[in-house]
Amino acid sequence: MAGGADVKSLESVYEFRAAVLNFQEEARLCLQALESQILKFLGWIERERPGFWKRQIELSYRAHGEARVSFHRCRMRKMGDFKPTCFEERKAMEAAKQALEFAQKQIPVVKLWIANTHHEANEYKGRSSQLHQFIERDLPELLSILGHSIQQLEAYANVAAPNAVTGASAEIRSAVAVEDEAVGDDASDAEAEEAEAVDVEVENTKTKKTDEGADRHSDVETTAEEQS
Amino acid sequence: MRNADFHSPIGRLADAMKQLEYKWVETKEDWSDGVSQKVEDDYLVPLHGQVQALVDTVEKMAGVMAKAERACQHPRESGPIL
Repeated sequence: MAGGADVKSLESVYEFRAAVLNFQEEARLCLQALESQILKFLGWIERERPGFWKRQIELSYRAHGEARVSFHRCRMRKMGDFKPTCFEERKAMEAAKQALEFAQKQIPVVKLWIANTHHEANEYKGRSSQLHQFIERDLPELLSILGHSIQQLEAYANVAAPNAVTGASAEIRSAVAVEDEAVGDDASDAEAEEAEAVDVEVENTKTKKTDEGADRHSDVETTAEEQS
Repeated sequence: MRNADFHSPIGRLADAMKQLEYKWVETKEDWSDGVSQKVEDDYLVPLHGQVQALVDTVEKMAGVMAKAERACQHPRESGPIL
């Protein structure tokens, strides 16, 4: 990491971390809901529809048979020289025939749409598994980075969370410089040397933590050296 | 669609992403260093891409499912449910 940390408000980082956690939870729920809706739809088209149209074929076949019988019965009817047109019976028979043909045609239509919807569901699964992986693998990494940054900033600011650290970098440096100056006024030369030695030791320990830490403490060390 | 609702969950996901991005814009005003840049480049930008790709996929899928529903319904099923 090049350069020091530049955080004006530690509270912003806390809030962003909370927002990431909220997003993670919401995204999980949304993916579950989508999965559930897809299963519901596939269940409807794969299991409910074929049975529905088979029943419709049976019903239409029966209705067509009844309409045909009714039509033939009408045609057999004679009232003297009058021969009925059987217009209504003919229409009913034609409608029943159309309904039967429509139901029969629906069987391959449903099969075709089962294949199409399966294809779409598979595309969704591929895409959603990538997001799922991101949510379960990358977001925890991000949360870890944010948590680590918060810990470091809390350590540098030496304040209890969630107090805001306004102008953290500059304020930390100036606070350390003021503290060193006060010590320098009262302490003897030997004490100043000892304090410097402790500063160097502290700096060596903190340098291992992060690069930003190194940057800040080198500034503090420079200030202390100038004062001594 | 009567048999499934894809728009509500994907809308919620898109909204959650917008909220996260909005929060990030606010956070960036107070946090601008190497770590914040890494957060944006390595996590938020790819996450935005993943969510947008999923939104597009779900919208396409919802269109196909709606057509499938219309094609597989009986005409009398397409009327309003009382």
